[in-house]
Amino acid sequence: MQMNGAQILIQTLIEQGVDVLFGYPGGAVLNIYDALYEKRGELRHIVTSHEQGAAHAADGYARSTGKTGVVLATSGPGATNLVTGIATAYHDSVPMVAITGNVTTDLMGRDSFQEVDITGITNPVVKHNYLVQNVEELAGIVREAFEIACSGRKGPVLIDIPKNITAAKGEYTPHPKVTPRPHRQPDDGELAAAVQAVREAQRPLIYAGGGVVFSDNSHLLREFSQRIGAPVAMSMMGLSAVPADYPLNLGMIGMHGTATANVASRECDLLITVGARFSDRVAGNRHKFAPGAQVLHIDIDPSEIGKNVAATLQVVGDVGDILGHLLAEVAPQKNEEWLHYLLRHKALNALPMDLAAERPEELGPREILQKLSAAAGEEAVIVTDVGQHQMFTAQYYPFTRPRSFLSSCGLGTMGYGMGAAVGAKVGNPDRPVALVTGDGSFHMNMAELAVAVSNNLPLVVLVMNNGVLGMVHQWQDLFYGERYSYTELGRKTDFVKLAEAFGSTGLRLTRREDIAATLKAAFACGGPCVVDCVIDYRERVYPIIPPGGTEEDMIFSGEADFI
Amino acid sequence: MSRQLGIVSILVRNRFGLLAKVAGLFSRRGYNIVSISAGETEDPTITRITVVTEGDARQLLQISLQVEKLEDVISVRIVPREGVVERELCLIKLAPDAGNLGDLMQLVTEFAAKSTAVPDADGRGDNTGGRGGVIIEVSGNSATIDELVERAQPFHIVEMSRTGMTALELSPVPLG
Repeated sequence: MQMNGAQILIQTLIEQGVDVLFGYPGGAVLNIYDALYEKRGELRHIVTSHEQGAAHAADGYARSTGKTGVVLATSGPGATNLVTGIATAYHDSVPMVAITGNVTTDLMGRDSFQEVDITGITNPVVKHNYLVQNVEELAGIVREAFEIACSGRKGPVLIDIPKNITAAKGEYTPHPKVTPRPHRQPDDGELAAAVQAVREAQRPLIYAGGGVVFSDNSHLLREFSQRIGAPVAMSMMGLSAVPADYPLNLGMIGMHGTATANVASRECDLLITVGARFSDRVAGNRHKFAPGAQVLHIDIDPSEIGKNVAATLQVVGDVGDILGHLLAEVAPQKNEEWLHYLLRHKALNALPMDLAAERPEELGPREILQKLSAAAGEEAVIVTDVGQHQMFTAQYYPFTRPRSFLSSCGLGTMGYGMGAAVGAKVGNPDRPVALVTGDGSFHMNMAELAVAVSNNLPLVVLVMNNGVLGMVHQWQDLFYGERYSYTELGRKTDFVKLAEAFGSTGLRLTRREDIAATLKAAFACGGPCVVDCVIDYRERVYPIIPPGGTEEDMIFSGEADFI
Repeated sequence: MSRQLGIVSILVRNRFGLLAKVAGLFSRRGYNIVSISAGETEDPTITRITVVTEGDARQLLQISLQVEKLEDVISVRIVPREGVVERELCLIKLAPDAGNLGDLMQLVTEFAAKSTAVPDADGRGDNTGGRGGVIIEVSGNSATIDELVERAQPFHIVEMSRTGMTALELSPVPLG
C-alpha cells in the first residue's frame, strides 16, 4: 500500500501494538501529526507540557505496564528536551522508543532552524539510534527499534526522521508484532558451578535488582529465597521483588539501605546477585563490598559481570531461565543460624522514626508514607521524584507487588515524577497512582499537572514540602560543616492555590491527626489532587553510608539537639 | 611502569555514524584510544575497526564486552600478541641537509621504505621559497616505526602521519 512516510510510521506503530504515544507537536513533525489526526481513533496521543515530561511519561508507562513506551518530539529543542528522559530510561534499562523529527535532508548540516544532531547527542544514552535515510527503510527501522528496546537488557532506542522522509511516498506492507530476541542460553558449566556454590553456602544472601522486577521474575526469586534459606536485600531498582511482609526481606541495601541488609552483605559467604549491577549507591566502596563472600553474579548483560565488583562465579542469561534451573537443582536448605542472626538483627535495628513522633502536633514524612499505603491500597503504583522523599518512600512504603514503584534510581532525575505518574496512570487507568515528590523536584516539572487535568487522570501528588532541597541540605549538614549553600530556597509557592490554578484539587496537610482523612479525601476527589504536606526541614534520611564508604561507616542518626 | 597495550579488532556493519558510536563508547567509559584505524573488508558492507587501547586482561575483556553490545557490531576480538601480523603505515616528510642525503638513502633501504621527492615551495628546486625534500613511507609494527622515527630525526622531520595499527591473525579462521 502506498503511503507517505508519516503514515507508514503511524501505521507501523499501530501494527506493533502501540496504543498510546506521548509527545509534543512542532514544525518538523507536522506530517506525523497529520497522520496521527487520521488515526486518532486507533492511537491515543497525550500531549504533555514539555517534551521532557513526555519522555518521563513514556518511561512511567513502560515501567508500570511492561510494554515499550513511545514518545514523539519535534526537531531541535524538542529533541534535546527528550534527552534527560531518554538518559533516565537508559540508566534504569526501561524499554522506550523515542521518535524525533528533523529538518529536511537538504537542510541538514547547515545549522538550519531547529536543527540538532540528535543521534550524535544521544549516542551515550541509547541502546541504539537511527537517522532514517529514505522512506523505504522506515518501517523496518521502526520494527527493529521495538525489537532492540524490548530484547535482552531493555533500554531506549531513538529514531530521527527528516521531514522530507515523512512526506515521501513509500510502500507499506503489514508485518506482525516483533518479539524479543531469544535469550542467550546459560552456560551449563556456569550453572553447575552456581548450583555447587549455592549448595555449599552457609550464609547466602540474595542481592536483587531491577532485572528481577522488570523481567517479571519476582515470584521465582521469592521461591528461590525460600528454597535455599537465603534472605533478600534489594537495590532501589529491585524494591518490590519480594513483598514488604516477606519474612526474609531485609529491605534495601546500600547507601540508605537497612543496617541488616548491609551487615548481611559484609557477613555473607555467598552473595547471589540477581539482575543488579553494584552501582556506587549499593557498593559505595567496590573494593570492599561483600569482603568475605564468593560473588555469584547472574545477569542478562555479560558486560555487567566484573564491571564494578569482581565476580567469582557468573551465569549470563535470563533471570527466569537461571532461577528456574537453580530451583530444579537445589534441595531445600535452612541456614537456621544465619537467618536467626539476621532476623534478630533486623528486629533490633528498625529504621528510625520521624522527628515528629516526639511532637504530636507536627507531621513527619515516614508516617505519611505508611498511611499512604493504607489509603492507596495494594494495587497502587507509587512514583517518586528524587531526594529525601524518594529515600523515605524506598525505606518505608510497604511494597507488595512488582512494578508498583517507579523512580529514577540510576540517573537520579529530579523532575521525573510528574511525567512518569501521568504515564503510569495512562497505562493503568484502573490502579490508583500516587506521586510522592518534594517541593524542589515538583517545581521542576509541575507543569505536567496540567496534562493530568486535561486528560482527567486522577493522580494523587504528595508534595513533601520542607522548603529546602532536603537531600543536598542533608549532605551539607553531614559533610560540609552545615554550610547550607543555596539549598534553602525560600520559595513562596502556595501549592494549594497552584493546584487550583491548574484546575486540580489542592489540599494542605499540617497535622498528623489529619493524615488518614486527607489522604482518603485526595483519592476520593475524582481528579488530580495535590496535597501540600508541610514537614520539618530538619528531617534526615538515616541510615547513611557516606559515599565511598562501607557498612562499617554507616551513620544511624544525627544530633537531634533541637528536641 | 610501562603501560599495557591491547589490540581490539572489531567488525561492524558499515552504517551511518558507526565510527562515532564506537569511538564515543571508548571515550565515555574512560578507555584510552592509542590508535584507531578503520576501513572496508572483503565485504564492502562490513568495516573492520582496529583499536589499540590500554588495559590489563580484565579491562580488555570489559572493553570488548561493552563494544559487543553496540547494535551494529558483528564481532569483537582481543587480538593476541603472538600469531598475528600487526602493521601500521607511516609517512614522514623530511627536509635533509644536502650533505646527508646518502645517510638518508641508507636509512630508507634499511627499513625497506619508499621515498617520494618533495619539490621546494616555488618548484624551482633551488630551495629559495621553502626547502623541498622527501616523503618516506614505511609499514611495520609499531616498534619498527618508532625506531624509524627516532632515526629520522637528524634529517629534520617537517611533518609526519601514522595510520594507527591494523592487524590480522595468523589463523585460517576469519573473525566474524
